[in-house]
Amino acid sequence: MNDPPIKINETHKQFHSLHPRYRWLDQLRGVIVFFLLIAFLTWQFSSTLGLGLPFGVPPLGPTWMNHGFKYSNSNPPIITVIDMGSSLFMFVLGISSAISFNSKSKKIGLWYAWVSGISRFFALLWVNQVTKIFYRILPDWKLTRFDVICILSWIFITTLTIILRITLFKKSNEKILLMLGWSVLSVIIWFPTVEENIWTIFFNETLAYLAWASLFAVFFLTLVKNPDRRILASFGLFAIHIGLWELAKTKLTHPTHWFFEVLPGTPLDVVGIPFNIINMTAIAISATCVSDWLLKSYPTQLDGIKKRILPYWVFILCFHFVVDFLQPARHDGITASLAALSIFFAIFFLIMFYAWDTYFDAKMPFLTPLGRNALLMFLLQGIYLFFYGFFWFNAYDFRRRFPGLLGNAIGLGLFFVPIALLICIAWVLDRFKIYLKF
Amino acid sequence: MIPMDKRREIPSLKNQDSQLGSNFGPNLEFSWIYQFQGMLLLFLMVVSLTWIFSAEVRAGEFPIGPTWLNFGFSYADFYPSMITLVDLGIQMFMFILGISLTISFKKYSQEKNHLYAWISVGTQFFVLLWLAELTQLDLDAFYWNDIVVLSIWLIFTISCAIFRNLKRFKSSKTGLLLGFIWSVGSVLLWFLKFDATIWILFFNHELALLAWGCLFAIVSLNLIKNPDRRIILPVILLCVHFLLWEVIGQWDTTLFSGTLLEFYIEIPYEIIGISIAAITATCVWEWIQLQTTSFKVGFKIRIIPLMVVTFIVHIMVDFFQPADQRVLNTSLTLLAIAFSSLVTMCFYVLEHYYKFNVRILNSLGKNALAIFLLQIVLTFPFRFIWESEGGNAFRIAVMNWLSLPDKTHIAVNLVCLTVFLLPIIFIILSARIMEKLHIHITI
Repeated sequence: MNDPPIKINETHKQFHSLHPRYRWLDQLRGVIVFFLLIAFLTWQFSSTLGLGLPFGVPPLGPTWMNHGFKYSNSNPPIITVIDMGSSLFMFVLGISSAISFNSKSKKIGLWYAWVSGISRFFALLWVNQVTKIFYRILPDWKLTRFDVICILSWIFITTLTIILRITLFKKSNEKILLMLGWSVLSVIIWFPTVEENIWTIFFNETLAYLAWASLFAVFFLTLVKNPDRRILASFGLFAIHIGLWELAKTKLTHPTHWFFEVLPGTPLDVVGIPFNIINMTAIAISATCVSDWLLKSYPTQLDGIKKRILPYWVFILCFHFVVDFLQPARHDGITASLAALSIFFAIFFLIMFYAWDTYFDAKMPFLTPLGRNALLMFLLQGIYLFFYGFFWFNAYDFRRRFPGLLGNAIGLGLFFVPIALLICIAWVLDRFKIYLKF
Repeated sequence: MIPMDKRREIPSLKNQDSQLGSNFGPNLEFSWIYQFQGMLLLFLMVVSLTWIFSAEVRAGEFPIGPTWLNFGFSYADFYPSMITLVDLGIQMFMFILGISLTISFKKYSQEKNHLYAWISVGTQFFVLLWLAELTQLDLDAFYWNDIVVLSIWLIFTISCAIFRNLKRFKSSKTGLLLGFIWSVGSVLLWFLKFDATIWILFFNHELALLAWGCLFAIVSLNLIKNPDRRIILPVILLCVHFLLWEVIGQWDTTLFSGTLLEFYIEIPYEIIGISIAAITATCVWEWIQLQTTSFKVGFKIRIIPLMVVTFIVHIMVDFFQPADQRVLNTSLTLLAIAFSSLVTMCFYVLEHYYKFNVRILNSLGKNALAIFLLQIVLTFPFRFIWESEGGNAFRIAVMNWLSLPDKTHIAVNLVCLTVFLLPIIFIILSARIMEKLHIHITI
C-alpha cells in the first residue's frame, strides 16, 4: 500500500525550520495545550473537600480534568488524564526533538543538531527560573536592587543577541551558537535571583525534567541509531527507576523523599535521587523511537505504525497494568506505571490525530494554532491565573461569594472566556506566522 | 450533503467489509466492533476485581489494582464524584450494543422481515432482563419452592433446546420464536424466586438498563428513519434529564400502597441516560454509512463533529450538574458519547487503515455473552469471600500468611497481581478455545 499523502499545509520555510511541519503533530500538541489550559483553571478552583477540611465545597469544572490528588489526597492517588499532562508533553517534545535532530544533523551536521539540543536544554531551564521568580515576587510585587540589575543585564544581552541574529549571523549556521550563548547566559544571570537551591531549580521542577529528558533523548539518538535497540534503553531506565523506588520505599517513609545532605548552608545543601528525570528520559527515548519508526525506519509510515508502534502501544498498556501492582502510578513521582500509561495515551492520541489527518482529512480547527504556539500559550495562561489569584485561592473562596446557580454560570464564564481568548490570540498569531519556539 | 435516498444501501456493508464473516446477520462481520466489545469485556473482568478489592483510601487502606480502573465513587465517595473510564463503561457498552443491534435489525428486516427483526430484539430484551435476575441471585436464601421453580425452568430450557435443534425448527422462523418464548418464560420463572422489588430488578439493574436502551434504540430507529432528525430525540432527552434533575431531583413514591399491586416507582433517570446513548448509537451507525463507497465521509462530517460538540457541551454542563455515574446524568452521558465515538473511530481506523487488530479482543467480542457469564463465575469466589472486606483485608491476610512487615510489600503485591492475572488469562484462553471450536455465544 502506498504511503498516504502527508498534509504539510505550509512549507517549512514559513516556519523558519529545516524540517517539514506535520499537521497531526501540531494537533497533538494543541490538544495537550488545551488540556493544560483547563487543568490550570481546575487547579485554581479545586475543591477543599478531599483535603478533609470542614468547609469543603465542590470544585469548579469536571473533576477528571484536575489532578487526582487535588480531589482526594490519598495513597495510592487516583490517576486522571491531567496527572499525565507533563509526561504527555514530554512525549510530544521527544517526537519533535527527534524530528528536529534527525533533520538538522542530516542537512547541516551533527554539531548543529547537538548545539540546538543544548540550547533547548538551557532555554527550558531558564523558563523554569523565570516562572520561579514570577511566583516569588507575586505576593507583594517587589523587586530588590539585585533583581533589577540582573534583569537589566539580561535585557541588554537579549537585545544584543537579537541584533546580532538579524544582522551579522542572519544567513550563517553559526547563529545557533549565538542562541546557545544567549540561553547559557540567561540561566547564569537569572540564577542568583532565584531563592531555591540548585536541586530544586535544575532537577526537581517540571520544566527541568523536560530539559534533562530532551537532552538525554538527543544523547541516545546519537548513541543508538536503531530505534529497535534504543527502546531497550527506555526499559533499562524503567528497571533502574523501579529498583531505586523499591529501595527508597523500604528505607524511608515517603518514596519520593530520598534526599542526601551535601553542603549545608550552600545552594547545594540537599540533593536527591532524580526519580522523575529518569522516567521522563525513558518517555523521551520512547518518543524518539516512535518518531523514527513512523518517519525513518520503514519504507512507508503505515508500515512503521503497524509493525512497531501499535504492538508497542499494546505492550506498554500491559506493562503499565503489571507494574501498577508493584508501584502504583503517582503524579508527584513519575513512577514507571504512570510513565507507561502516559506513553499509552500519547500513542493513542498520536494514531488518532495521524488518522484524522491522513485518512479522514479532518482536523480540529483551533488545535493547530494552539499547538504551534504551545510555549506562548503556556506563558500567557500564567497572566490570567495571576489575576484570578488576587480574588480566589480555591473553590471555597469563589463559592462563598457566588453561591448556587449564579456561581456555576460565573464559574463557566471564568473558564471559557480566557481559553477562548487564548485560542483567538493563537489563531491571530498563526495567521501572521508568528511563533515562539526554541 | 448526500441525499437520503443514496445513503442507505445495505450492500455498502458488503462492499466495505466483505472480507469479514458474520454475527450481525448472514455474510457480514465487523471485526472492529468485536474488537470494541472485546476491549469492554476485558475491562469488565478487571473492573469486577478492582471493585471487589476496593478500599477506604481515606482511612489509610490500600486497594488492589490500578485506581483508574475502578469506579470513581468506589475510590472516594465525595460530591461531585471523580469520573474514571470505568464510570463510562455501561454507556460505552450500550453504545456499541446500539451499533451492533442497528446492524442486525436492519439486516433481518431486509433479508427476513420486520416481524422477525422485532422478535429478535424482543428476545434480546428479555435475555438481558433474565441475566439481570441471574446476577442478582442470592445463593444464601434457597428454599424448596425455589428449587421447584428452578427445576421447572431447567426442564423448560432443555425442552426449548431440544425443539430448537430439531430439523423442523432449526432453520425456520419458529426457531427464533422458540427463543423468544424461552426468554419470556425464563424471566417469569426466575422472577418467582426474587424478593427484590420489580423496580430494582427491571428498571434499575445495569443489565435491565441495557435491555431498555436496546428497546428504545430500535423503537426510535423505526419511528424516525432519518438519523439527522433522529438525533434530536437524544437532545430532547438530555434536556429532559437535565431539567428534571435540576427542578425535581431524586423523587420516588409507592403506587397502590397496601394492595397486592403495590409498586415502588421513581423517575427513571438511568433509563433516560442509557437511552440517549443507545439512540445516538443508532444514528452513528447510519452516519458511518453516509456514503456507500466509503465510511470515511460519515466519520469526517458527522462523527468527529458529534464527538467535539458532546465533549464541549459536557464541560459546560458539568458546571451545573457534575457527572454522576449513579444516575447517568447529562454530563456523564455526554462524556460517554464523546468517548465512545472516539473509541469507535479508533477501532475502525485500526482495522481499516492500519490493518491491525488484537486477536484476543476478537475472540472475546465474538463470545460476549459467554465471557460475561464466565467472568461472573470466575469472580464469584472473590466476591463471596472478599467483597465486604475489600482489598485492604486481602492484603493484610496475605501479609500475615507470608509473615511480612508491610501490606504493600513486593511479595504481597505479587500475590495480588497473580490473583488478578489468573482469571484474566483463563478468560482469554477460554475465548480463544471457543473461537477455535467456532462457538459463538453472544447477546
